Amino acid sequence: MKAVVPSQVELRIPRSCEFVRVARKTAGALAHQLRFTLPDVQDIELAVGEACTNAIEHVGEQCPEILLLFSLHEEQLVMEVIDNGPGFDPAQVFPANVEDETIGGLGLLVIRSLMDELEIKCDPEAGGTRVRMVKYRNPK
Amino acid sequence: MTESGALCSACAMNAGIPRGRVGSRDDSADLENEVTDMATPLQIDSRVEGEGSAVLALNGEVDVSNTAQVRDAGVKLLTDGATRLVVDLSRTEYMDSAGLGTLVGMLKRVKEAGGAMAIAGPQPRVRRLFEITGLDQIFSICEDLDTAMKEVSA
Repeated sequence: MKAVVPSQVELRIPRSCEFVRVARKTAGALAHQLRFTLPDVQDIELAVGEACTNAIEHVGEQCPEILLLFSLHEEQLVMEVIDNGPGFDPAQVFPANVEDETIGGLGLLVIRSLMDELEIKCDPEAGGTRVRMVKYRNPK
Repeated sequence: MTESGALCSACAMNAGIPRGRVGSRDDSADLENEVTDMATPLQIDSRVEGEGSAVLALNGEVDVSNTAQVRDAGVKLLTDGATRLVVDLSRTEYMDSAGLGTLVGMLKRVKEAGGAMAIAGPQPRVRRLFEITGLDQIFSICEDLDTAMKEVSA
C-alpha cells in the first residue's frame, strides 16, 4: 500500500536504550512505506538509531523521553529527534576519535555519512537539542 | 562441543543477569546465551578454539542496549587467556556505533596483551559501517571464519 503523503508521524520513547530499536524500526517501516530502496531503509534505521542513542546519552534525568517526528513526503523522509536535555556542542564531538573506545561523535559521523541533510540545533539557555535529518528517495 | 573442547566462557557474563536463556548444558558444552527481555535480541556465542584462540560470535542485532553484554563476553575470553580473538559477524544483522566502540575496546585490549584480533564475515550492511567510520583501516576484516582464524594465527 502506498503511503499517504504528506503525512506526519509522532513517536515518543522513554529515555532508555531498550527503546532505540523501537525508534529505528519505526523509521525503517515508514521508509519502506515510502518505497525507499532496502539500502536506504537500512541507512535510515541506522541514522535514527544513532540520533536516539546520542539523545539518550546526552540528556539527563530531567528528560524522561525522546520525541521523534517523521514527515513523509513523496520524495523525501524528514526525521527529527528532539530532547529537552542540556544540549551539546556538535563542533566539540567532531571529528570522532575512532580509536577511542568511548567514541563520542562517531554516531554523528555515521548520520552525516548516511543522510542527505543533517541539521543540529541546540538551545543552551532553554535546553534541548533537535537533530533534523532528511533522506531523499532519489538523492539530489 | 567443538573438537577443541569449547569452554563455557560466557557463563560468568550472564551470571548476574536474571534475563537470558541458558539451556541445561554442562561446563564443557558450547554455550549460547540469548539476551532477551527488552534488550535488542542478540545471541552471544563465546568459545575457545584451541590454546589462546577464541571466537566471539554475535548473532542478531548489536546496539547500545546490549553492548555491555558483548563487552563482558569479550573481556571474559581475554581474561581467561585468549590472545587471538576472532569476532564472527557473519550472522550479525545490525550494528551501530556503540557496537563498533565495543569492538575498538576489545582491539585495544588484545593489542595491549600482544595478541591479534580479526573480524570474520560481516554482512554488507555491517561492513559498510566499518567503511563509513574508517575502522576498516584499523581492523583486519576477513571474508569468513576460517580466514580470520588463520589471520590471527599468522
